[in-house]
Amino acid sequence: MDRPVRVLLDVNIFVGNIMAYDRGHKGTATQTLVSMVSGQQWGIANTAQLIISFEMINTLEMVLRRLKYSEDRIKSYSGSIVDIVKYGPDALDPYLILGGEERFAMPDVEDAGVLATAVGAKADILVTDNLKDFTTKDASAVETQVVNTTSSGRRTLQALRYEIGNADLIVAHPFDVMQWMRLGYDFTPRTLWDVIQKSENEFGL
Amino acid sequence: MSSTVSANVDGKTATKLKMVASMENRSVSNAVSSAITVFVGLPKGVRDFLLELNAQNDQETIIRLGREMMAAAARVRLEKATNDLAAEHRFGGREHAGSEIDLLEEATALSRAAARRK
Repeated sequence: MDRPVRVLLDVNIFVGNIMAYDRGHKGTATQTLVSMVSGQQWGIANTAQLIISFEMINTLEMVLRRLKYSEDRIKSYSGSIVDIVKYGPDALDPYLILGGEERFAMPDVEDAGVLATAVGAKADILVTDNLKDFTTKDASAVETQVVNTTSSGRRTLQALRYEIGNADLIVAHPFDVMQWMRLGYDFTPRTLWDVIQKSENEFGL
Repeated sequence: MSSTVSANVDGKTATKLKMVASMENRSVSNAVSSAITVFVGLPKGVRDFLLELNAQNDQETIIRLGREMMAAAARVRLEKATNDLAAEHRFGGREHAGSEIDLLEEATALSRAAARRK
């Protein structure tokens, strides 16, 4: 890719990242993704521009507030994320990335806002654990892998593609994103989607 | 114990200094004090390079370097903020370590619950 990959990390990725460090994990998908994006890296050869909206920062702060972190700690964390967006290769401003959630018919207004942010900021990839709520009739879907979870049992992960106007966006689980990165895939949405579809056909998922 | 130091600067630098102090709602004396603190804390190589760029009036490199320093500072700031949050073990600490997918589902549940409470 000859430009920075625009990456939107959903709130659950940031929360999962803090949780992983809290519980002594090392090298999880969320830890790797947050670390890479904060260092403006994407895989071996690409740079990354983080995308986040004011609304999402607000939700992230709310999660931390509910866990009774001090306001200083919360502001320091969210402030550093804002700086990563501002001083990224495309120098974006989270306060100027507007939603427009009414454009998307989704059951959850918050998720519609996240999708609208990704589309509005021309993200290439939206990384989230919460794929279910991003699956709408406007998205193409491909099954990628099956994982076993304690609370939901067997869960089939999917990759989704939204082509809206000039925007072309892939929505994917962090496990898949890490796998594609290891395999050296090009994250240009159209190219990535072709490869994902081909993989689905080969492995019969 | 504090000491008073004095320095001579050219008119252009003095004007810039007043502008920075005004933009950041500080006194000129406070801005100078911060500048000295930062300067003496930087490695000599960095100080020399910054002074060299300034002497050459290489604005393009100064701006590029400033952006790269801010990007690096943001990354380090995020690492520190994450470690500070994690050190409080409000997510339960090592006793709650489970599989990565379970951790992610828990993170999703917490995020959704917070979004609904807004």
